[in-house]
Amino acid sequence: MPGHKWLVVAKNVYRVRTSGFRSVRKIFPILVAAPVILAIFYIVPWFGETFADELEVFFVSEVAVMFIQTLLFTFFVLFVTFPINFALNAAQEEHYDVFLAAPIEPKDVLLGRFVGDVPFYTVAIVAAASIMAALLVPLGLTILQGAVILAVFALTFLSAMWIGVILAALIRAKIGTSARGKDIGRAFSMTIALPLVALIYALMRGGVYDALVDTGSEGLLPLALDLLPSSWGADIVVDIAANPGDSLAISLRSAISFAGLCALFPGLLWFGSKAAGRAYNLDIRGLSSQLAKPEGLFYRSVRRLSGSGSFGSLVVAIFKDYGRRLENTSKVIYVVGLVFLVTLFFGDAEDSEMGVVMLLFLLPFLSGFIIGEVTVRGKENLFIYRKAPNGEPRLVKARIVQGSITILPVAALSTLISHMNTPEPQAMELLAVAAYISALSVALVTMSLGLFLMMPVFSERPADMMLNVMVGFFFMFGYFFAALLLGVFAELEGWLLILGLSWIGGLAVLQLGYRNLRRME
Amino acid sequence: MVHVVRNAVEARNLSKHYGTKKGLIKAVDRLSLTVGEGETFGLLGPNGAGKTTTVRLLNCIIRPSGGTASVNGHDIVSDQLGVKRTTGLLAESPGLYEKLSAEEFLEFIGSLYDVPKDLLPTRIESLLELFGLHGRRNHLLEGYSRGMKQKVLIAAALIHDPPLLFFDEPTSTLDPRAALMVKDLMKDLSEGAGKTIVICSHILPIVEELCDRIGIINNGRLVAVGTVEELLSKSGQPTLEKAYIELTGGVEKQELLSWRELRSAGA
Ligand SMILES: Nc1ncnc2c1ncn2[C@@H]1O[C@H](COP(=O)(O)OP(=O)(O)OP(=O)(O)O)[C@@H](O)[C@H]1O
Ligand SMILES: [Mg+2]
Repeated sequence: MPGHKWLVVAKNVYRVRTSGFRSVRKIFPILVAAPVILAIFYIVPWFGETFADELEVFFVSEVAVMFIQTLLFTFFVLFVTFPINFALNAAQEEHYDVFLAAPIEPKDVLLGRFVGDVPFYTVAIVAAASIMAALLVPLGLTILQGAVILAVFALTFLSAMWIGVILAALIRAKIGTSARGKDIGRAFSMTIALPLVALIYALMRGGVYDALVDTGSEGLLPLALDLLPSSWGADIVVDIAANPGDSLAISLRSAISFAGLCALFPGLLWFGSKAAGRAYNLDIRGLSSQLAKPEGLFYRSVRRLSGSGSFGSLVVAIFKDYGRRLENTSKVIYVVGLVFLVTLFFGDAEDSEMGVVMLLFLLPFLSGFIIGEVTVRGKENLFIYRKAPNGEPRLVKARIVQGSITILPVAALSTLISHMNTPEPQAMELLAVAAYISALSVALVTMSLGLFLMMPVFSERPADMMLNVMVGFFFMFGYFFAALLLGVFAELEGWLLILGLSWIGGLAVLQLGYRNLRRME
Repeated sequence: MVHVVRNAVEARNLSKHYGTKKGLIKAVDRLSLTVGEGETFGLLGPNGAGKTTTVRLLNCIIRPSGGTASVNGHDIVSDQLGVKRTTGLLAESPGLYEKLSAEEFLEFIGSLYDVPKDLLPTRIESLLELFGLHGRRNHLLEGYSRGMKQKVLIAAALIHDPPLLFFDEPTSTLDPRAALMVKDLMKDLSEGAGKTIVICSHILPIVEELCDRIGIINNGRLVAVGTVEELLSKSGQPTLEKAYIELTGGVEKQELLSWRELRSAGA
């Protein structure tokens, strides 16, 4: 059946994505859609009805336009970056050779991958669109208007996704598939989210929002936003919200916007596959062989710090393998960047405790990112240690040392950054906070190691990785909550309680993880 | 002929089962086997027969579901440390740190096996020389070809100079010259250094040339064991290849091109 190769690719993508839950593969979309639909028609409208008056006032105000515009914009960027992120992580690297050998055109590969992912994105689209629609239902929306809103969301997001897929392909064609290129790709995929986060924070807190509303259509930023397809959708949604129940009351501007959106998607599909076919010619660039740098001061110090002997060599080897992967550096930069942004936009000069709390909640991410490496290279890699005498305890110790050496400077730096709003930081206080955060960091490294050994992640897919990181986060949340419940939060006892719990939890989880490491087959 | 003093490997009713009751796979099924000290032993068998599983069991990588074995006089369950210290393993799909150079990787493995610090650098040096990798010792392993990686891994298995060596398909990715070199190396290790060697391989000429005795595994069971001559006379076949086929179930005559006819019929 020539001509439908993209369909073959799409099916394959869907199979790969659903390999974790094969038995419900066929009904998966329904399984997910059902609760979403329930939410739209029962829960959200009920919620909306209680606030119907406020909502009505809101939707006829100027703010609504900006609100929906930024909302759509945020989703838009998110949907563009997501496929890039995914593709750059090269999760499907292995299939590459298969495509190379088969008589298939690049555009079929791209389109296939895109379509194969659509069921998953649809869930997100339906959720986002229906929340919006459900909010409007109490205002007396017609079915046509509801459908238009759904279409607006779907078109906007699918366009964004497709742009993302194409951009990812182009980027990958540029950086090639050499080991170095893959590294750069993974590193880039992590930090690509930072500007987005900055934007969201700026909108939430930084006054950009007010500026947008105040200047009306005069400023540069609103103009720029107007040009984006996401804003066209916002026009339509607001227009509908202002005239609920009247399907025909649509301004010329909205009508043009809607037509534009409808034309945009097929246009993008056509244009994208043309562009990608040119640039992304599916060829593997030659492997550039990289030299190992001779050991510098840093690794010599690490070696000495971990006791020179064979254990020192172990730590250094693990450290080199970690440090030579660019994506690891970019993950650390990502967290430090978050600390900076949060402090910049939310930092309160009067309230330095909030800075510490923020660090508290970012540290599990940091430690998870650093330690997550332990299982990613696969079981076979762990078996190197299993074969060696006392290999497993050594692996655990070496990882804790390596993790601690990595996290401590980052924690110290983050402490400094989190105090940048404080007018006259006290050296003693800074030192105390830094010491506290350091002690906490090592506890979290221990816990993350335990988590990753307990629930090993044998792939580089960020989503798998994030699960363990989130579990670590919830542990921290639990400690924090305990301090709140006992009424000692923000007091010395509270901080000590959190630290103590972190260590107890960390060591307990590590014990479990270690047991699992020894059992793993 | 090799003088057998004691047994380097002694397995009694060794079993390894995978999966649940519904889909139980008996990867190794009550396998009993002895390999004498200084002997070179070949393990043959079809794909999925249980060779790799046996080797993994004997190296304490996985735990047996039943039976016992001792390796160099150490029990594989109760004295794992003793086993691990005295064996070297080239695994079938071994782990590798891609971001290390060959030299760094060997240093890492050497440290894991507690090779004395004053000995390690020269040993690494000479192993890299031996495998012709000295010129690229500072390149990261990610840029190595499969066969080059295999050479590094063989070097890693030798780094602590153990008396007993397991090679799981040592030459399957190597070029003819390198395969010949590895074959000669195994021969020298046995004859010159008195090592005990267990080889899993599908390459019959190598097994035939190197091995003092050969065990044939099928469906997790040892179906025959002995010298080449013994296997030939047991099966009544003239060559090892024919004996192997006979002992692992013989050939069913298959219509090898039948898959093509369906296509023309469907079109
Ligand atoms: N971790 C595992 N989980 C489930 N089954 C396994 C596992 N490891 C091996 N098996 C099964 O055990 C059987 C023996 O596998 P093994 O790898 O030992 O074969 P082999 O003789 O080395 O084959 P080959 O010549 O292909 O390397 C196979 O049926 C395999 O599917
Ligand atoms: Mg095998």
